[in-house]
Amino acid sequence: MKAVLLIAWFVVPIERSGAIEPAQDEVEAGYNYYHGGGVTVQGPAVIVRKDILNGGSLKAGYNVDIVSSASIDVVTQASPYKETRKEYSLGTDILRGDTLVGVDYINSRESDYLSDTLSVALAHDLFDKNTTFSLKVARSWDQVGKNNDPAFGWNKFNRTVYSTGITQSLTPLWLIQFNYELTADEGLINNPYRSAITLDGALVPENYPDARTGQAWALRTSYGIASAGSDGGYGGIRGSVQLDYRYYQDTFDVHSQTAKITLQRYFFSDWLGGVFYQYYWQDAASFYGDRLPPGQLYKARDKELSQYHDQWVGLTLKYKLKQAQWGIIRNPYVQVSNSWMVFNYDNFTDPRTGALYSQRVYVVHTDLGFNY
Amino acid sequence: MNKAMNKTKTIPLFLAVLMFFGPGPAHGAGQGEKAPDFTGKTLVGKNVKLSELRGHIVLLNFWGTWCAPCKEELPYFNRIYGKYKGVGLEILAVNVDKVAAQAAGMSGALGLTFPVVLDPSGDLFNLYRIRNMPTTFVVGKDGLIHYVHWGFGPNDPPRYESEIKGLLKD
Amino acid sequence: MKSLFWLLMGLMIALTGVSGCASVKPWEREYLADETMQFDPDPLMAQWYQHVREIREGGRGGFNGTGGGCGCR
Repeated sequence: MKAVLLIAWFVVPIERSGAIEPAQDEVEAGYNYYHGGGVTVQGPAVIVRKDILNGGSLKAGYNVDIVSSASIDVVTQASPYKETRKEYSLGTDILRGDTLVGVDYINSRESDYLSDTLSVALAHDLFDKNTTFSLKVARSWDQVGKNNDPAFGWNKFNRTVYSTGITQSLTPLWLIQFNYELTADEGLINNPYRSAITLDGALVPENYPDARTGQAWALRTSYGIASAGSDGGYGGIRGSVQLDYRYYQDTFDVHSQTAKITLQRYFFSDWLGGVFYQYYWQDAASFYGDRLPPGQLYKARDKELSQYHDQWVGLTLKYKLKQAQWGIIRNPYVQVSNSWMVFNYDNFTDPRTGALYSQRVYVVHTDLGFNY
Repeated sequence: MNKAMNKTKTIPLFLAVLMFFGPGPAHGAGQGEKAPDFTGKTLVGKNVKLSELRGHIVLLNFWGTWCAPCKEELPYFNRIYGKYKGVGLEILAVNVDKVAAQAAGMSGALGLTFPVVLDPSGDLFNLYRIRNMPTTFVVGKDGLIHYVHWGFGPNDPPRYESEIKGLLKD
Repeated sequence: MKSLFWLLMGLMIALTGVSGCASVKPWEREYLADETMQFDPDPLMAQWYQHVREIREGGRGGFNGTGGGCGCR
């Protein structure tokens, strides 16, 4: 199952924090959980980062997705299955003056999907580090197979992602970021297990164009809230408000918008609470149909290409000891994030009932980490 | 648009523009300049005036608790302060945190033995035209800035050692 | 991509102007260094949420950039 898409670009070190600064040595280990719509995905994840040489660092990561799927497509067209996906990543970044260069490699494997991704990223600070430019290119070479079908063989799927962005600090409490990302896919794009349904109810294989190019434009802003200082100025930071907006469109004729707000606040000096709300809506790919008329060349019945909207609400709690030192361990923290998603599909139905489909999903992430 | 971005045009142009805009060298108050005089208040409430330290070698450090390399640098300064204090080294660590308690907390946690000067409004940072966090000026017995360190990395400790030893001979 | 090129040029020119009058001094970055002011400061959490987004949404990309923060070297 093509469960993994490119997660290369946010594993690249430079984008994590900082108007470019050398990354600190750290370890983070966590557990992920997703449950809803008949699908459960869970598994551990770990990242270790170490400073090596002057201004360079090495990063290694490992995560596992244990998938148990009885999704709407699976139960109506196949039978429930279990699958395990393992992913290893290795990266390095080098800081020279105001420029950071990062190279990352990710390898992901499951029984019917193999993926290798290489990415190179560049970031540069300007104007006293008020402005940061970033540029990244990532390339994936994937092999798509099909369980229990040796005749299917391994089919190529390649993805290239170009990202560029500018981050600007406007005031000591206000940051904005503009990102543009182009994703170009070629090869076998559709899920080999899914079928489309004709008007008279017959199952037919999906057929997608062998290329897909999408563009995303995103604007993000972060506004800090500081307490009043004793001298009339500002005191310590209390929290922040973050707003994100993204517009996406591609050659499948999918258009979508994402709007998200995140509020964070410190409590009792060592606790950080956060809440977010995201609204996402998209319209369907041009060749998508819940029931397809005869004679249509391209056919899709993937609900992720249908017209739908979803809402996502989350609560996060983090406990962090900022100035603690326990032997080699510094700044330890632990956090839990619970969130809920509700999807409502406008033109995707449950074939068993004929009613429009909807699903609720529960997503959890928990992790702990420290510097050393 | 099925073709990928035209790499041959965009990337060289991007890099050319980067080179046009920078990177310039980080610069603040410069080598060879007279270290601007100031009076500051320390964590323990004492007043300290830079010119009263004439005749000593002064490491004038600018830091904040939110700056990771600063936290690496301060324990190192503690060690060399212990080593060279008796022969004329002074260290002043100017802190820019908005909340003095944060500076006090870190100073206590690291066991700093040299004075921490509080500058929440950043006036001293402005005076010394600080461009990087942290920045340390090595001021000689003559009150002139002899060396400037931008940031703190593995190359800095041996540099500090040779600079201090060299200035002690004057 | 021609439009991307001109977009970047336009933004850079605009930012040159903006940076002149709205600039944060290196020692004023205390708040920007705080994790609440950064975009996706936790890589594991960001990775998982991005993964969920990608398997459930038709849209791809856009939320990855660099900048803000302490700027300490």
